[in-house]
Amino acid sequence: MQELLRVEDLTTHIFTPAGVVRAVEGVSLRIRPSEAVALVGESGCGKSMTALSLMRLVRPPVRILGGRVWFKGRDLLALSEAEMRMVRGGEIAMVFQDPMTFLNPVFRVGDQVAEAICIHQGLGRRAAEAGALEALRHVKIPAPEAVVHYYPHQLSGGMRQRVLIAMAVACRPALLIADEPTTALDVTIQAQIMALLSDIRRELGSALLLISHDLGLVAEYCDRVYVMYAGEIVEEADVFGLFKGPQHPYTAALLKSSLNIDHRVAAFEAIEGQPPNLIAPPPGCRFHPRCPRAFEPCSRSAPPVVTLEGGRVARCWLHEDGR
Amino acid sequence: MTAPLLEVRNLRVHFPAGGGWVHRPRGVVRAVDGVSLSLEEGEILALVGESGCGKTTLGRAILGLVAPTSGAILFEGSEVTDLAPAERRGYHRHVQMIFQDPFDSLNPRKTVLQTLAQPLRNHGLVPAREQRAAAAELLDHVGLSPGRAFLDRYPHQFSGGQRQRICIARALAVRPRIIVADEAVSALDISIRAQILKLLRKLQEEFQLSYLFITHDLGVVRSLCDRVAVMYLGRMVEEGATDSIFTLPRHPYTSALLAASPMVDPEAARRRTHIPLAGDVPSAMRPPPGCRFHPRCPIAATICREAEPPLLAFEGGRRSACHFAAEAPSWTLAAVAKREDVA
Repeated sequence: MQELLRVEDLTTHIFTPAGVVRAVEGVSLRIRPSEAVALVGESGCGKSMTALSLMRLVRPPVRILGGRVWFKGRDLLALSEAEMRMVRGGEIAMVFQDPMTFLNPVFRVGDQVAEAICIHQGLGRRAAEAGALEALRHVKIPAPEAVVHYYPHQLSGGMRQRVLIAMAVACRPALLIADEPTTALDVTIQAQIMALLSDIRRELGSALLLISHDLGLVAEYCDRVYVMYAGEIVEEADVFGLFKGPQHPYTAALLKSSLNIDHRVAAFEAIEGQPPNLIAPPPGCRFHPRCPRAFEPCSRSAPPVVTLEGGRVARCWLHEDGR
Repeated sequence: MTAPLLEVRNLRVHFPAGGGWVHRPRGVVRAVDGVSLSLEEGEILALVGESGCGKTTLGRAILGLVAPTSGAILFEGSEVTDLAPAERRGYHRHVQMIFQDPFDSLNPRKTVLQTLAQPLRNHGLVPAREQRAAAAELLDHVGLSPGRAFLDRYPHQFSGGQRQRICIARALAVRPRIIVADEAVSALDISIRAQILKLLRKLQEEFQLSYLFITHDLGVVRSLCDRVAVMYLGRMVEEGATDSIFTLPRHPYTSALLAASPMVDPEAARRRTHIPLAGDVPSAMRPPPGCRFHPRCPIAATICREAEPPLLAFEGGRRSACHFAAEAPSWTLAAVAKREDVA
């Protein structure tokens, strides 16, 4: 299978005074060219930390302890910082949740977009400015000629997110990582931004890694899904298979807890308890204290990673026989 | 017919915008601009809309946290906007609140006992020596049991979900009739959100509560709320029973909100085709003339730019403020058909 990105056994820990937080523990994932892949999970499960680690955007006390990140045949974790800087924002671009913390409030929007183009495409000032205008037009910002002169605070949340996307896609990245890109936005603006991302991806042929807690967004816009819990990938499946028949009890519980607009849920089904403290994660399966189907081996030893039919993967003792 | 538990009549809340103590205000933000609604005993009413539509301001006006510019708020048929302070206290006892962010809404320097004892003391409901027991019992009700064990802890020792439970216990302390919940589950993770929704439904039965549930999450509305009121730019655009509105919205804004809400079903999601609503919500300082939604409306006609549509009554107690509300099936049919063959 042709792969654009292959993450193998990525481990990232946070060294805090209270102890070592095992935020990302042996995460492996693959993304094919032009595929839309979701990494879903609840707050603190390590999904953002995974993305930051593979972009090497971590600094102490966060440390990448091991693993490989293969991108187009190169191990990103072995590149020099200068080489990595050309990958970042060039071949792999990232869109964050809060555009206001990413945009510099004291520079004009056009200059910030032009800078990104300038660095990665080696263009001169004049050409980069023209490129910035083109990039803003590309993300369907109304009146881009005026908007290049605006400061970020003069734009609405949706428009800022468009500017961020303009910067991200200006260099035609092969992979776009979007970390909760619409969480801060209203639902109609969210729909606009997601539609824009889909259009641009189709046009450029970029792959997408969507990091989200929103199963609705994942269902609607992604092809394949990785479910993360307490620093580990617990299930991997194609989007249709996952929503039709989750193979890990955590995924099943998440689906039961999510509410849909097309029918009324008579009784709310909740996963009791809360995600574990990752300084001292539970022994065995990290989900077992909350798992409705936990049995004898779950609390004793780490569950096997089992490949099921259709190439699906689940990290659960329930599938042990399927090995 | 008996009066509804809570009634809001033609309420307006305007704020001066800009300016300060040197400059005169630059204009007026019409946050809530002529809204009427009613909440019946034992009902869960959803107030939905996007940021800036005025739903939070309306909730705050009902709680007495902002003064209305005009209009009336009636509790069990009697006006509360011009009550004497002593009588106001009685009203406040009956209407309590829960906010979005459980991290901001608890005092970090007070123990849980102090937080819960405050409303008991304010309203003189429980003798001082019984407060500890009463507070422990409240915690038991909200699923923090045994309550005794949590009384002397501080907010930072709890998770987000547990803090929201404490906020709910504080609201319950004075045995209110109405709880105004402003985005009460929006900041919570899915698994915790389901726990809190389950709790809110259980408490509603136990304490015969009515909720005014302010939210932007239509998934939550569908499963929790009996009735929905949709707001846009300070005005009510549609109101009615949840199931009825979700199957046949009579306002294009409601339709658009439903179409934009992601569905937790990849097949259904791929089968529906929706045209995203263009543009942003305009400024509440200069709302568009005519129908306030017309600049973003896919079916806007000349009349929409000229005349503000009245809130018209439809079957089953529904109301809609759209010139074309009566023709609703023709423009929503396509979307609805898609949603139904999924179900």
